[in-house]
Amino acid sequence: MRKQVILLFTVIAMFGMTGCWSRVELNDVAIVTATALDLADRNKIQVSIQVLRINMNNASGGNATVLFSEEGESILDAYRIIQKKIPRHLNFAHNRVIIVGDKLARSGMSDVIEFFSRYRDARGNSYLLATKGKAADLLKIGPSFEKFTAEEIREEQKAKVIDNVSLREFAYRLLEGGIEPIASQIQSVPSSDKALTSSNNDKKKQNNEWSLALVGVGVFRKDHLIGWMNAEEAECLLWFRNKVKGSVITTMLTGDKRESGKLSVQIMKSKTTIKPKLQEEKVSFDVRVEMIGDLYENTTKLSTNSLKNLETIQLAVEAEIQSRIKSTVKKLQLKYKSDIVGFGRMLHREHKKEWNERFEKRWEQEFPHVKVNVTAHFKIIGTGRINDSLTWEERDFKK
Amino acid sequence: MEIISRHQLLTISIIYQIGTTIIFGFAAGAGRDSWLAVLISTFFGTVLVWMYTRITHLNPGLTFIECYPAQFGKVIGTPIAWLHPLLFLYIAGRIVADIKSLVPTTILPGTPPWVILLFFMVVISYGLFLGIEVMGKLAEIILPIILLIFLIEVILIISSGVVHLENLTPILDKGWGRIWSVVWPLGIIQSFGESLALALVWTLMNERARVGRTMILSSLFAGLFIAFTDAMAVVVFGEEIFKRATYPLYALVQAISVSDFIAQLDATGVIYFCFMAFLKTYIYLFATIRSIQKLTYARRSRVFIFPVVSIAFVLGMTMAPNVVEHIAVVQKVIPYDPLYLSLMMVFPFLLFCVSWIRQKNKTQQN
Amino acid sequence: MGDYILPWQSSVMLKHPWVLSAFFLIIAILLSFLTWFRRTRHEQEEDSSGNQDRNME
Repeated sequence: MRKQVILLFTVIAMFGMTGCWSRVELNDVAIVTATALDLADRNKIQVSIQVLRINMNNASGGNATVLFSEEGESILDAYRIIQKKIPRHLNFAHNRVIIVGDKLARSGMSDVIEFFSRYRDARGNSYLLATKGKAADLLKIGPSFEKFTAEEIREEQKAKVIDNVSLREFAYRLLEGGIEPIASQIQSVPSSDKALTSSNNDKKKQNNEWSLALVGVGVFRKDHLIGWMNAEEAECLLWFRNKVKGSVITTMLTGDKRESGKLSVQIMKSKTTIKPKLQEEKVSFDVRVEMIGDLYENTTKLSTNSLKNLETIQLAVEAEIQSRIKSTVKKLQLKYKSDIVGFGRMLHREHKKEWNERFEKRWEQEFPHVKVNVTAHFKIIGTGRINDSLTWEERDFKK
Repeated sequence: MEIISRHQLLTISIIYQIGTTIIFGFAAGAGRDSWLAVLISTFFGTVLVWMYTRITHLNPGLTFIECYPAQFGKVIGTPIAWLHPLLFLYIAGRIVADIKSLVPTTILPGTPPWVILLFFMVVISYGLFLGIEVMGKLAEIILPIILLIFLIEVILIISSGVVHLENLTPILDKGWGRIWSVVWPLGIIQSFGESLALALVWTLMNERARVGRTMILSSLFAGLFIAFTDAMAVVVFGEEIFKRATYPLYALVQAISVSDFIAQLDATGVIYFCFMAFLKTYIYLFATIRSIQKLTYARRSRVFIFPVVSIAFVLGMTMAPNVVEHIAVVQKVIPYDPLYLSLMMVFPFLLFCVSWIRQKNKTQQN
Repeated sequence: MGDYILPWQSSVMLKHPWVLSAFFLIIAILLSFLTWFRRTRHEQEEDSSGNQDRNME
């Protein structure tokens, strides 16, 4: 009797282990790789998704992805309407990028974050980007290198040429006091002359004549988009976060015939420390930037072999770094009044009592008035593969 | 008679005490300082657990609940003793309800919950049928595996580049108030007060004298583990998201993404939560059955397995219509609930005092 | 009154938290009679056979 009971238990348990109840076969699944969200008329949201077309018979040619777009009252609503058009089950787990159009970003990102934080499949790792204009148009552009544009965008974001945010980071910045959210700005740019001259717009886009580029950063205050910063300023923001991977700084030297020209250095390593200083009611920040890099282009007539000249070059680069950072911060303070670098958060960490009592609620008003001092140090560690110009010699100019 | 070794007790306790806290995020109300709240709870909790072991020591040969009629007399002691299996049954039902919300939300959305729970309960019944020695051996084998998986998870999270240690600062941001509100009484009850159910296992250990030391060791270890996992969650998500997430440690596993290659490890996280919940439910039901057996002077405990498991199943299925209410009960009702407080803290304390005084009198007489 | 029937449910726990405790207390007292009954029977058997182990299978 006992053996039969055990056998019965085992057989019942066996049925449970196959996990068949909630199964979804791979060819019943439509994998969403990119999502574009726009504000449509009458407060509806237009959701466009790029779905990977899984070809079981390895047919080449044609796009690997298909685009679907629908309007709905909310994101979930639009998604349901799209689901009705497709025979397969939509799966968001591989969604790599979320692009938000201008109007929607300006009216408030909270709704977007809401959906993606609650929904089961959505991951915090997806990158969030913003664009001027309609996001849906960007998804129509064909990929140049990877199989689909979402992958390209993701690779570009990972290369960290411009500051980027994942969904999780955006939500973190939204909720945390003392730092405001940003999103990379992505636009379609013509990749060759052909794009500018031919007339048929849609065909152009399919034929790889346009491509997607990260051109700047969108500045938010709380969850509303308020403006854009261009690529140079966006690079500065990256310096603040210590996430530099090969920035290039070009500076011009002016002076006599010998000294004038352009210098380009590539930054290898950068370390930025922000120290808040509190003196009675006045807040100020000392920003200290330390960078090391290689000199790769020198169009001045200075010989890069002499230590004195290297010092001049270093000073010039330092001045350039300082001025760039200063102008970026000033723009943030005066034009946008939004602390996207996180000065407030630094203040919170160092002086938590004062932050909690005085500044937490009023940081938006306080931020434009804080003083930011920048000191930059730059060290050249190499001048590339040659140590002096191949085409001239400095003593030719000493006359 | 079943006997489990010291090491088996240690592993069972560790898994039991880590238990379901890692599903819902222990002390999430303290935000950034939750790890600190956990460490403080561990300190007080370990003292509480030590007190339970001392009670068993002062009443040799008797299981914990038999001490009540022995020390307080049959009239008062027996109802108090009977409250224990009822409480354990209720808590077991709570854990079943936890699983009922966790698994469909995360990995098996289409499966009806009763099916998931049915299989769960069948396996538990089988385990109860076989006895606690088997569970001891299982825990011995699985604890190293669980710790290894956790270690790998931590390494992967760090490699995913989402860790920001600065999120833990500023420490004690909003002061001690937040921390105390989480430590007392919920923090202590949740993992350490619940160790009361383990008390029914202690008399089955082979080296009775070492029970105290074993339990202290396991409580400290479990506390450190939970503090560490809370700290990890804050470091990755920041304080605000940690407070708002329903399953923060599950979200932690979701965040793993190393070189775009190792990602989507959700199912691993859920499986190990399920095992923790399994062991905890098993111990509660074992404690219930053993208590009933002792209190009814029954000769065999197996006859109680089916009714107890069925009642736990029904309790779990009907307990809460949605996860929000379920969590609300834990946060709002349980800290002030007279049952929990009295059975886990007040009565044991009285029992301890009485047993100790009686023991002193006896030695004085000798 | 129908509210009080299933006191372990979260809706009841949230509105009337004492119901569960009262419910358990009542059941505990009722079951204590069972213990008392079984105990006297157990002691009678012990006295009569004089060689009884408390079997803990």
